[in-house]
Amino acid sequence: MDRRPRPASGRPPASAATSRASEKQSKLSSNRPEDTASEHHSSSDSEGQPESDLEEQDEALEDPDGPGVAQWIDEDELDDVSDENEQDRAGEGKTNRGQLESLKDDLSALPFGSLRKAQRALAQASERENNTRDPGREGNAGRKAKKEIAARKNKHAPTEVTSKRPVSRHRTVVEVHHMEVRDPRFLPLAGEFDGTRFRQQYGFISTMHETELKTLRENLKRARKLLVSYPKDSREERELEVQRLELAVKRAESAVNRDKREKVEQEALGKASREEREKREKGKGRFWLKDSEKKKLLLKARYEAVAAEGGKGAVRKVIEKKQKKLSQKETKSRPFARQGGAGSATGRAEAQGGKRTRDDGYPQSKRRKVG
Amino acid sequence: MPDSFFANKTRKRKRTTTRDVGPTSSKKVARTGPGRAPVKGKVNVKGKGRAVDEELESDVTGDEGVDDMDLGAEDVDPHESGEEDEDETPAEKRLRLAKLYLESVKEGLAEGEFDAAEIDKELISSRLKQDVMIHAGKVHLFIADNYDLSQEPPTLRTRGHRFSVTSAVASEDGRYLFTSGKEGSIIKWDLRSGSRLKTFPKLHPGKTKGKGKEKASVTDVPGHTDEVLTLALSGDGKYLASAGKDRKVGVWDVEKGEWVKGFGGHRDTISSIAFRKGTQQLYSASFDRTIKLFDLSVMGYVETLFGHQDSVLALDALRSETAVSVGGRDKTARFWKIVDESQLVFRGGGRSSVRELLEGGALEGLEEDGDVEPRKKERKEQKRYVEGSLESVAMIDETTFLSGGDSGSICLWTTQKKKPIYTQAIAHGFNEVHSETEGLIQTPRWITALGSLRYSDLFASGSWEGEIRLWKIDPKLRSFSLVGTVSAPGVINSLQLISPPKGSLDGVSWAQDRPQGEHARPVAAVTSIKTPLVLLVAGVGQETRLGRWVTVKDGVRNGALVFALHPTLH
Repeated sequence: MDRRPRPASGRPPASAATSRASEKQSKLSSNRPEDTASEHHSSSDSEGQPESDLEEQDEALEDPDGPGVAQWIDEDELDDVSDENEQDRAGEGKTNRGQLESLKDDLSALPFGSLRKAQRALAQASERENNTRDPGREGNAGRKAKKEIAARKNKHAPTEVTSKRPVSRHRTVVEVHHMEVRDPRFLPLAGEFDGTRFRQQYGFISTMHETELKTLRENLKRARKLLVSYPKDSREERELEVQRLELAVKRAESAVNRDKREKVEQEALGKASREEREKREKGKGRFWLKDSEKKKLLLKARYEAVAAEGGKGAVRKVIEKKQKKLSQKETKSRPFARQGGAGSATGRAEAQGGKRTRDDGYPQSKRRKVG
Repeated sequence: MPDSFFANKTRKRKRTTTRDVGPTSSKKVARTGPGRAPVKGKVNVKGKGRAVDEELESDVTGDEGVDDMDLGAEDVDPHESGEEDEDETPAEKRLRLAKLYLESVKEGLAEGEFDAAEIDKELISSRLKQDVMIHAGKVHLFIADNYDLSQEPPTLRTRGHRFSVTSAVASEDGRYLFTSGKEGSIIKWDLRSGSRLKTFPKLHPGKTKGKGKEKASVTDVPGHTDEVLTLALSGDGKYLASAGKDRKVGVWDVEKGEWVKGFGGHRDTISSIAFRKGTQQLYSASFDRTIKLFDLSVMGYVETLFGHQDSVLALDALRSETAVSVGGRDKTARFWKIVDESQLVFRGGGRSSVRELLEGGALEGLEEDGDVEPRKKERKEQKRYVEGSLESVAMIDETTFLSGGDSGSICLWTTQKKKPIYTQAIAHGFNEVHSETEGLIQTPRWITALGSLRYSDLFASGSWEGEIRLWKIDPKLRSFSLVGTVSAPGVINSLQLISPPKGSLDGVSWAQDRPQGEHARPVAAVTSIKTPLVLLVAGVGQETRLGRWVTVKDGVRNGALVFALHPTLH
């Protein structure tokens, strides 16, 4: 394998550097980020850089058995390469003395900080050699030991921190105490939502709603009665208050109804899931309750609750009311109003056509059966 | 014949016994067992000792292989004493050197005495103890009581700066005085005559060689181009370092009086620089929250230390490779262990309360945390002042230092405790401002400068009160108390206490102790070693050093004041 011809000056490929050269290189490079803005040794640094490259090159050449570089060379270039290598080998013996001198020059050109670091590293390496240690740790000889700061012995001693970590410019001038907003819905501290547990612990709210409704109704009754007996000037205020109370009563009613409905629905769902579990234990396969099925189930449960309260008559009434409401809505939303009977056959046809094509959720003519 | 010390004798090392170290039992010599490396530096023999130390070091782990060691029983002649061996063991060598050292000490102490034979053993032992303390870096000069400040001490006043003097430093040998001012010039004075020797004025930044957008390189201009805020002199008196707003650390040669080198690297104003005592290592602290180390023996930058969260306002260093710095509004004083690459963090910012007594309205500064419960009879008003920033720092010995804050409190710290051991609140009184709406507003004057006599119990603090206060630390280093005050109108921007060598200020006219009519003090023929003449060098200006928050104009001259404090003999 022939080596790729190297230029006279310039950086050699990174992998070709020997361990000694890489050490020095790393020290130089570690120095560089520290003194980004420094100009006082920029000159020395720039001098040191190309010279150190040459030094590395010389060292690499000195050690032909060391790690080399595998480079693919074109067949055409092979002829040229062989000539150059012969020249290199011939010149090696002559340049040994020159290398020493160049080494000396390089060392003097290096900045003082890197020399100190090199000295420390060598001292540490020699220390390690003196102490007996595992042969497996040979590789760490070159790396600088990180000085661990011992933990302080008692709490009255000052803290000891490293002095090598740069500090950012940003600092808070005045410490302002902000309120930390913690929404328990999104805190992991609050845990996961469990419906049954929630109902157990917060079930008192539905009772509160009921009592609230009762008191509001009483208040409204009283306010209506008193409306008559007030003098005429303050009647408007009283009327406003009565309206407000009415609205409040409506809100309370809807809250109570919502609670009832939710209770009924949860019970129905719970019952269904319990039955499913039992069936599954007995050997039935798993299935997923579709949304439509779920809706049907809940609707049924609602009607059953109504029936439990009021009986079949109540159920019938509820259904009738609903149908009426829907039909009213439908008539309102028709695009064309119904015109005179004989005159507009087209109109009727259109209306009927429109009627026929519309898709209703609930069929008008059929009567829904409950049960 | 080669030195017997290096002879590779196949012989067991003898154990050190008490009989080997005879009369020097008072001396705390580290006794190491055989085979261990002798401790460096504990035996400091003048002259000869230095070379000997190196030899001791080299003979660390004797390169005797196991095969070479004589594992048989040692044949000891009971009549022979160990010291007479030709080949000395390390212990014997130490003994010989100790004896030599004692001889030299005896000679030293015998200078002032007539009969050398009368020197007590205690004198020698105390001197040896002192030497140990010096090497351990502890306080060993307890001299603060010996100075009488009831009268005004002899003063040298220098004038020459247009704007406030930011720093005044005198060389250790008492020959030169350097002052720097806010106008950017540095003046070299002859301390003995008080005459101006040289001026280094502020220079113009200089034209850029490049295309105009390039800034001129830092090293181009041989001088400072903006305010010079701080000065420092190396221990041997060879180099003067100066730095300021132009972000450059300038190095000047003292004898020649010319610019040597400028170090860039800092990204913001440099607030304080300090030399490591006895070496040419320079530490610089800057508003960019870093501390940089330079070595002037090779004229190179060494490393950067990070840690402060706010601009570093003051820096101090002693003999060991440590420094202490104070960081303004981050309310921390940091003790840098440069070798370990770590720092100890001390948090200031404590609250100090003041009790005003009913009777005279005299103020009494309290310690922090109000350990003493104020008696209701005496308590008139209790105001609390919180220290918002630490402004100045001074090292007393290797493990103790002082800091001054903007609440007027001087804190004494030790590196073992994270809180100050002792605090003196409102050290320089209150700054009173009469306002139309509020009435009289009293804020404590902050400590603008601290200076300590190295390894002694005397230190000085300055503000714009018009007085420099001298304090004495008690022998246990647990608290301090006021010794006296020296009048110095203006804002004290820098303080330095030095004790020049014995004969340096003998013939100086301004520094002579004024003989008062009635209170004539007997002038000693020879100032003893223990109480040297102390020079207090203060840099005084009309404005504070780092900004223009405080201006004192009435009767204030910008200049340096040098006070000669003569010791009194009881």
